[in-house]
Amino acid sequence: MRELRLSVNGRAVQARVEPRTTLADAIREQALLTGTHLGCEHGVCGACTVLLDGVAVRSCLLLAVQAEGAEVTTVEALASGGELHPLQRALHLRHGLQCGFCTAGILMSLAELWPRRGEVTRDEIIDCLGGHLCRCTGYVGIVRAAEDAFGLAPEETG
Amino acid sequence: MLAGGQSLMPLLAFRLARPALLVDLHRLGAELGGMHAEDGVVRIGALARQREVERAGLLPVLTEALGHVGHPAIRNRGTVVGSVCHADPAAEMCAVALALDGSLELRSAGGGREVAVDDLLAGPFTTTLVTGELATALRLRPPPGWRWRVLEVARRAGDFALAGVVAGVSPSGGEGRLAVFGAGPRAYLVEGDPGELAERAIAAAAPAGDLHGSAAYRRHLVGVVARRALAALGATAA
Repeated sequence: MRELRLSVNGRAVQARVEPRTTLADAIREQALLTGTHLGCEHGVCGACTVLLDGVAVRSCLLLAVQAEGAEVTTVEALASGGELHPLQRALHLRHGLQCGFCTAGILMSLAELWPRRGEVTRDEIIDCLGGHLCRCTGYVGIVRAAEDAFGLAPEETG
Repeated sequence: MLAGGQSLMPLLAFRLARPALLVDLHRLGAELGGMHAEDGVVRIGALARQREVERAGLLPVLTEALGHVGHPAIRNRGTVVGSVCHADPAAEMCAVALALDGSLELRSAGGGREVAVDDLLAGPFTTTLVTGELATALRLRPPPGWRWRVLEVARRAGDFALAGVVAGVSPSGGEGRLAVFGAGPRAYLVEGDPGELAERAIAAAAPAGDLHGSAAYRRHLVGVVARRALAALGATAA
């Protein structure tokens, strides 16, 4: 076991992990933040996506020890003071979620783009969402929510 | 050896790899990161992330190929050099390296050597790297003035390609190159008269069939993407 000092959502977290512990497991079991979900645990589904120094990463493909010295941001950091983040609100309004399992990961991938809103293109959003599997929605609501949040007009669909 | 970890970590998760010792390189960013172009050679450090290289736009063909690699969050961590060393038969980076006369800089306690990517790729997920060697950089030597196109067929965006090509044509249009991936035990290169390249690429294909596509279908796809890419480059009639 190794003592580890992580910074999650601006809070210092003292963790005791094995070297093989993934960042995802450390977030859930040491920082006790269970908004980050584990789906496939091999980088395919995108559910466990978090920000590492502002950059979207799969937390199942990182070891907790690799996150030492970096700032980890999880879905719990999005809403503030009981107010949903604009990305969360858009997903809610556009029915971009059903069971919600994939939602945290999708939010964090979109959150990487959020500081550049205004210059984010529809192609970028599609590329970003392409890294996430959702087994409920059929994706249309998710895409519309993202377009809304980033101020893009929806593309005509047949 | 753990760089970006986007291939090795899934292998560990599946217990397909069970190394007794894992060395994480990420604190060597200053030594092994970065990229630059000099005298027609593009050098990409072992810790340069795919996303970083994609955004740097050093070579249009590299940027185009990286757009097919995984997803943005995967490319945020994955490295170009790691992808070449992983030697996935369907990896775009191995094909780009073959097409652009790529070589790897290797270092070990005993010294260093440079190996052409063509001599590096031994088979599926297998290279001629020996124990104790660390790949420190990839060198690409794009022939001057050539135009390139990357085309692949995958079941979904970001999936491993069922078949794909990195196609190039010389400024005169008289010479061409096709680096094929996803259609054999390793990426391979055919070069010469652009009019003959697609047929030669099909003849050299040795794809394995799986639940995503039979060997015959994948061989067929090699021809499809090869002909389309060469036609898009104006190297052959559409």
